[in-house]
Amino acid sequence: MDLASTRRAEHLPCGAEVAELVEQVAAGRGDQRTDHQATCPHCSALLPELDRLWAPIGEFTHEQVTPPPGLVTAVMSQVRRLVAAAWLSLRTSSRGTTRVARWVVGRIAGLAARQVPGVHQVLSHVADIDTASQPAPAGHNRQPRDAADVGAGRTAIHLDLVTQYGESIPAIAQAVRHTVTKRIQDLTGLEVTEVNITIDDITPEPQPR
Amino acid sequence: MEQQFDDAYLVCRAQGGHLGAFEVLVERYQTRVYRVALRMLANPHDAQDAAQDALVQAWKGLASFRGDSAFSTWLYRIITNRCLKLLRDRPRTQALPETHEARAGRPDQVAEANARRDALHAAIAALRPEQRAALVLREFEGCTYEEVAAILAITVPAVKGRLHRARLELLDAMQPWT
Repeated sequence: MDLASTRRAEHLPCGAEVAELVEQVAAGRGDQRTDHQATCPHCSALLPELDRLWAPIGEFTHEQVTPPPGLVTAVMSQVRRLVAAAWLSLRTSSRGTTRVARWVVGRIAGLAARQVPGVHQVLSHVADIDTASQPAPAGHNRQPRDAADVGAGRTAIHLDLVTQYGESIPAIAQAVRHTVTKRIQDLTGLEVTEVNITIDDITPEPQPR
Repeated sequence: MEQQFDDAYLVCRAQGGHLGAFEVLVERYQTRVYRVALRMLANPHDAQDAAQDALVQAWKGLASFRGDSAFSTWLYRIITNRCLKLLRDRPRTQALPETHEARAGRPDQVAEANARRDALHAAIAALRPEQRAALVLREFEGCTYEEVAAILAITVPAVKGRLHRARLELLDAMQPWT
């Protein structure tokens, strides 16, 4: 029997299972022979042959693949449309309306919190941006609200933090609350009524600065 | 830096409507999802569409994810099923010849390496979709047999059977080139 038809058999004459030998080679362990394989003429004939044939396949399976650069952005903008992130209007005049997505306010909160010493990681989230915010149907963008309403509702920011061991948690929380409120006010004009902070974890490592 | 939040935690937050948590998961898994699509569909354009659809579908289905399996297994199941459906609906998906990376060496050797690569692509494309799925998850993604079985909703012996047949096809295709 030539080696090509040997591959198609279930067992070698020595009783070794061909599928197991193929599996061994595919896992990159073709050269790690068992005691039997080291001495068996059938196994020692087939294994190097399989190794040789599998080499280009193995090379291909390990090739690096880079996802297209816009994939995350495309996914997230679709997801954001699905949740119909409420648009907050900041100012309406005869010359047009300025509005900002709820998501952006969350981003600002996260970036601001990150600047507070002792804070390592932040996940931020804006909830109950005002009492009138209802989820819009998927794919439907909410129309900007009247500027008169801005600041009338409750703007609640939720932050999950990982802080540094040794730092006072109440002190960090207070600093984060102050920084986030001020930053959002400065950048958007929105008034933040609540900053809810959860400390999820602490890290022993010194903060990289 | 968000790498330190583990999957279960991020999934839990994302289920609560937390977009930032979901975005971290998308960043973490985009390569794996895209790679499965690329190897299954053999076409970068289709792969990008499939990966995007699968990740959005993951968001939509997040509420139904109960943590019975790992998030990665659940996500692999979504992208694999999506690719299998695309292949079923459009059995003759057009495979774009991949551009050959520049190889150094004598022209005849380069030509041979490129031809061998084309033969390998063709052999993978010729596999039945179910076999290809098992091959991609095991050999390209490095999933265990148990994970592949969970993703494809088949038994471990069935996974081994599909894999063995798929490997034999590829070995046969490499025979003339070595």
